[in-house]
Amino acid sequence: MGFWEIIWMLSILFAVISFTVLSISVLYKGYGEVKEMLFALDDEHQANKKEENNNENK
Amino acid sequence: MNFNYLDLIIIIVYVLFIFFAGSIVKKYIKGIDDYLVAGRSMGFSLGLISLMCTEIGMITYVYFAELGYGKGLASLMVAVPFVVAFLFLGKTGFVIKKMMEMKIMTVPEFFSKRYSKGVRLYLGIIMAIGGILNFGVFPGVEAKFINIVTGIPEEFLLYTMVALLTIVLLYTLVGGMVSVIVTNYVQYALLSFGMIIITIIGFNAVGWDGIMNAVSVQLGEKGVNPFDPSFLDGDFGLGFLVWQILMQISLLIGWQAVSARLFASKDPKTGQKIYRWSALMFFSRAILPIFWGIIAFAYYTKLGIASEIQGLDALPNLIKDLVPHGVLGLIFAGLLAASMSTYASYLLSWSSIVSQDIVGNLIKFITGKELSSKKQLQLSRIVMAVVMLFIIWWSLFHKIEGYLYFYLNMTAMLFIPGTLIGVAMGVYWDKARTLGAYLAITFGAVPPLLYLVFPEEITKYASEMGYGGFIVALIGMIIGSGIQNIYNKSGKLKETV
Repeated sequence: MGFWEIIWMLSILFAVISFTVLSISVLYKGYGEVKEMLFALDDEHQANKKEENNNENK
Repeated sequence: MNFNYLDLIIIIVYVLFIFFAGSIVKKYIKGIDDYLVAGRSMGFSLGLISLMCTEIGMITYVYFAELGYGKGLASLMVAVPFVVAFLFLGKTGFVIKKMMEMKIMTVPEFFSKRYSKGVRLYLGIIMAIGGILNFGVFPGVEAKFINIVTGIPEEFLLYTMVALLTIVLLYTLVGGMVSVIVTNYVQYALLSFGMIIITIIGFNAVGWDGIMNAVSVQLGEKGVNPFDPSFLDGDFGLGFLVWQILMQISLLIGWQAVSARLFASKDPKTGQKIYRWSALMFFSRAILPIFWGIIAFAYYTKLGIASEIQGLDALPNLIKDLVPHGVLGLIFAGLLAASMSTYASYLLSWSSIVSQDIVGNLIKFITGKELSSKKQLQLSRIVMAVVMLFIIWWSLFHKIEGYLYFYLNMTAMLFIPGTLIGVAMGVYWDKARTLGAYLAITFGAVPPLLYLVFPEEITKYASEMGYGGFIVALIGMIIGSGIQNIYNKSGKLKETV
């Protein structure tokens, strides 16, 4: 086996393993973050609505 | 058709689900901030997913696989500049930290704050041209891919692409960045599954010995050693590496579809963390599809038909020939996921440049007033529809010369050198001036323009044209700023034209 053959073989192996592990990890954590993001946006939405209502009442 | 009922059901369920998921988030959109940068509320994992989805489309697979098919294992070297660029920016925060702190929504906005509104408009125009020309070849290339994998007759391909793009347009139009991020999550699950399965099935079909035999016999030393005949003269040697590292750094700063992820991050720290980890993800993003191209080369060499198959068609043919039914439906849904997520992000990104930096800026220039958030939102949506119509038209009539990878690089290069030099010097050099920014953008666009106008004559000088763009952009910045500093000794940082 030549130098470059070993390098490419290791690179491909590393790419497959790291991609699989990292993908599983971000998908697992990302689910919570989607909910968190929508909750934050909704919260802000409710607050804005409340503020608008208050302004109208004034 | 190459699909059975199970494949079709999987695909239809996926498309309907994405449309539904993308559309129901409309209620979260209250203003232009939510629409373009999701209220700057994106966390680390979601940022990484969204960035990967944006930058992985069917077209990404096609151009990387084309390289692998034509240039063998040596082309795996293409993955290295991505790692260097992401790690450098993620570790140092070079330029990007400052941009995130400025709370901007588009890159040209930086030019308006640092230089003048005129530079923002000028860069916005060149950026929109380069970005949309780049984006404009996606439907054509991907339509061919879909044609080979699915077996849909060519006369129906236009309708298929229009239907696909319309679905993407509708949910992106209503939900903006929030839709893009939510749908990206589902799309990433499918596309990552597809990438791993294609690698396993493909490798299983040819084995390592099959790959080495095909590459070393058919392509010789050049197919394995990226520096053959020497480090200076190899296809992937010094010139290529310098160009690509500079270009990837610039793309991560100035490519709206990518930097929009930075601007949507919760804070600069999260943005930098996304970039650091993206180094690993983007390494795989290049290595795996290039490897599929090499597998396709080995597979069709074994069958004795490698020379009959064009590089761009190698991957769809491989998928059609190797993946069994049922799995094919899932893989194709993964490919569609990759494509739809890219379309959604690119539509949003390039239309935001047109609506914010060109039209919005012009209106402000003429009337002296800024558009209301609601009007900006309407404008973005109209522009998005126009951009979609344009890319369908362009992809029908434009024929690509040479490697697709280099065409895409060069369309990006129209504005990338000027953007990098303008931003970097704007942040770190007090004497950078408006005239310098104008000249950097103009000079930097000349070499890629030559490549795009005379592709056949200049194709062998791609690397020189590539890094040459950065050198002349830097010269333009120094000359322009020098002249303006001589005429304007007072050295005001903010200028008006």
